Amino acid sequence: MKRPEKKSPGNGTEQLASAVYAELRRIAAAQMSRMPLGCTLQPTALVHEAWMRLRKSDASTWHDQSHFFSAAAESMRHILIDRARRRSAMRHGGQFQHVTIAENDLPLRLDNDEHLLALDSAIERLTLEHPEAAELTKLHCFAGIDISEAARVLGLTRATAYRRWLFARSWLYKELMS
Amino acid sequence: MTEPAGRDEILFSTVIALPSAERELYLDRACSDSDTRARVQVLLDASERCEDLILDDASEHPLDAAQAQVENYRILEDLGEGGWGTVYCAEQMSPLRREVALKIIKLGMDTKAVIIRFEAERQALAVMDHPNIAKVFDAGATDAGRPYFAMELVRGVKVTQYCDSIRATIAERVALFVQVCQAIQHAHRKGIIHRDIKPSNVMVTLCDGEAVVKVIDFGVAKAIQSGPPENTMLTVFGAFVGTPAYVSPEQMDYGARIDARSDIYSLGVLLHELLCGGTPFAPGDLSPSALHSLRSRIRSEEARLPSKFLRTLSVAAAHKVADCCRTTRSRLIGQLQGDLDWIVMRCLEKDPVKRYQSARDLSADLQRYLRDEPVVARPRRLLYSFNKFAKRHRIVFATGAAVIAALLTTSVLTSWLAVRATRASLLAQSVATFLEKDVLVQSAAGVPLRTLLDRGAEKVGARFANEPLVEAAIRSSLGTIYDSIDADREAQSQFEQALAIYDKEYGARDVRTLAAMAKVATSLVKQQRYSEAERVTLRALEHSEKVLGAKDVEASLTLSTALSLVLFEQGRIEESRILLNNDLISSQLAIFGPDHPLTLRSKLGLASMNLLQGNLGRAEALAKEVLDTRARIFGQKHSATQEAARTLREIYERAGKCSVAQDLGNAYQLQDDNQVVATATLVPQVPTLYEPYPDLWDCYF
Repeated sequence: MKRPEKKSPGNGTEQLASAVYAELRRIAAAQMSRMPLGCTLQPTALVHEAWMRLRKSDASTWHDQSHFFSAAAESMRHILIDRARRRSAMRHGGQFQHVTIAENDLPLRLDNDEHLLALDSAIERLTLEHPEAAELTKLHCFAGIDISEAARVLGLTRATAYRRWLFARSWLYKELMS
Repeated sequence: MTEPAGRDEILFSTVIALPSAERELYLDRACSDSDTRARVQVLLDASERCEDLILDDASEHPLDAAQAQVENYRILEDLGEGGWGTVYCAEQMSPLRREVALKIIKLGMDTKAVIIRFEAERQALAVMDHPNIAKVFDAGATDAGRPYFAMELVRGVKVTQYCDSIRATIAERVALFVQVCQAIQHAHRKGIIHRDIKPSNVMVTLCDGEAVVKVIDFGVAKAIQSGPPENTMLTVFGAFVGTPAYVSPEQMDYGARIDARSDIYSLGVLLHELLCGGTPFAPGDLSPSALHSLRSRIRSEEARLPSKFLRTLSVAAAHKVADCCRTTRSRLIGQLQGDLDWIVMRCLEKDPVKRYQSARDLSADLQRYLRDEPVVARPRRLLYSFNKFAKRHRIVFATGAAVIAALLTTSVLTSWLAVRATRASLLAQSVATFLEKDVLVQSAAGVPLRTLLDRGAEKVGARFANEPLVEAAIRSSLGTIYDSIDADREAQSQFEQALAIYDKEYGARDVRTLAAMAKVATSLVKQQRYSEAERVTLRALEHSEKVLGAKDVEASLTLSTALSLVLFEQGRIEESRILLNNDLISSQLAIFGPDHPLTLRSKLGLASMNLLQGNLGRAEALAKEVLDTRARIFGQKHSATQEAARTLREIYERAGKCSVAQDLGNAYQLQDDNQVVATATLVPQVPTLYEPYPDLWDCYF
């Protein structure tokens, strides 16, 4: 209750999020075109490259780093979830596009699409009940920022961030097990 | 009622930080319903097993191996990070094996100087022994050359977090905060100033299910902060990271004297946060520009009253704060208004002189609040025109407002005795009927007295439009009841309206008008509006001599004493002394006799004035007479006797007779501190619906 109310995601945030999304896809596509087939994308590297570029391109829009990382996490989440959905669908016939994402880059199991989709909808529910814990979770899981770094981005002490992270994980575990 | 799920995180985080043996007890205490408890328990169980759900790349609390090598300590666990560094749980190897908290300072500062400054204070730190203070054992340098401090390990949570997590009520918060004050008071008496009081340095642990405050980090701030100016700029800035909101204005200025009262300021900020969920100048963010503006605000901007602060929050935010205090927004605002507002504001004064002068004074006022007694921290307007000399001798003045108020009330009584005989029974009947039918009959519904009075006061004018004397009598009664619950402003308003009616109906030279004047003056004195009180009292005195003449000398003599004390409170000591001259005392001696409380009160007042003016011989003789008489009548323990003994001790001390002063203190078992006499015993206590007839003796003291 000490932290000021977080800006609710209004139009401005959506615009920024779509800008980040576009940028992430563009960087990914560029990497793909340079690489031979079957290349591996590294989400964390993508996010950081996007951050460097966007900050340079339009300094005024990206005054707030936490703002950017939230948008980046959201975008990366879309990319990963879309991919998981498509792959689940593909398995029932259809072409399979060979884009691999580095498995150990994010603290997620990207090899199990059902698990990922279930986790994602649990995070969705976490957002409704505990928005701050969900925000931290997304930053960590999808933008790949570690907890200490996320603490800095969100203006929390490290101890608070670790405790919040432990809470979020416990909550998600409970949610998936029930 | 099931609690909102939003609180689960606070509960969970708090419990996780506690040693496992305390978790059950804590949950029993914090969860008001079984649903909440069950939910949190599920999460706690899940926390043991959630590792494989999301792969965690880093270990939970990564230790920076390079910085954490400390001779004689084995680092066990990372406990958290503060503005200055990281705190670890560590095992001390010798001279005894024990778990300690090890705070390693991260800023690049002169380690040797830090340790030297710590050594300078080590002796003082060592003699601190208080259940609410975490001991500081040692300071030294890590292998990497950073300063570290070894302290008593406190497994607990921040006081703010604890209160929110158990949804502590305002009274519970204040009671817990009193423990903080006691810890700080103990340190101050040992000559240690904390310098960095903030929630993360005030922990709560559970001991057999009881919440116990532990103040940590004594001696650390001083060791880190002082030093040559260039260094201070750096370290002060470092120290401010995360905590500027708690720092007193004088701590912002290099070279300004920092003393115990700087801690009082920080205590005020902490209390503010406990009561209304944020610091007075809430920093939105900690960017350098925000930090800069925060500093200038702390220096120059007056803090808003806590109740106003809550009003400025968004309704949703204020609801959240109120919910954590187990109440509603409007009730919380109501609870803060008045006493708590004033107490916090007194702590947050820019000028240290205007704050509470000790943590004990602050805690005494909070305890008064908890006991529903009038607090000392009422808004003061003129009081600070006092000269420094007077301040040194504030024992003598401590009882000022209450004593004067009691004197004025007494003067009303004596005048009123004359009126009462002639009062028409019809008038009394109307007053009684109104109060019974229109005011008190509703109290059965559980409406607070205050609300009843407010409603009654609204009705009076219209109801008795054609019977001004009845209106005046009722207003006078309402004023008396307001007065008894210390709603002084309202009391003043009722008395003033009554006075206006009597003035119009009977003119200034009437006992009823006179009595009303004395009552108005009483309310003004209780609000410490001394210059206004002076005007009214003076007018009453002039008329009383003409009106009452020889018939009622007592009223005049009482008013004279009251007026002289009103002047005294404004620092106009010479005028006060002239008024309270020997003639007045001679008259009182002649009329009332040497043992009469008023005679003694005047003598003691004259003793204080002589003390202030340096006539120590005369002061001593007067004070001694009063002390002997009061001791004979009331015994040594009575507050009136103690008051006289303290005055006499003060006189001895001024005269350099230290051993005599000490003997006197021992004989009367006087407290060391400038303990303020509880005002509650000094003002008439029992509100009656007609006129108060408290014990006259009580009235004088």
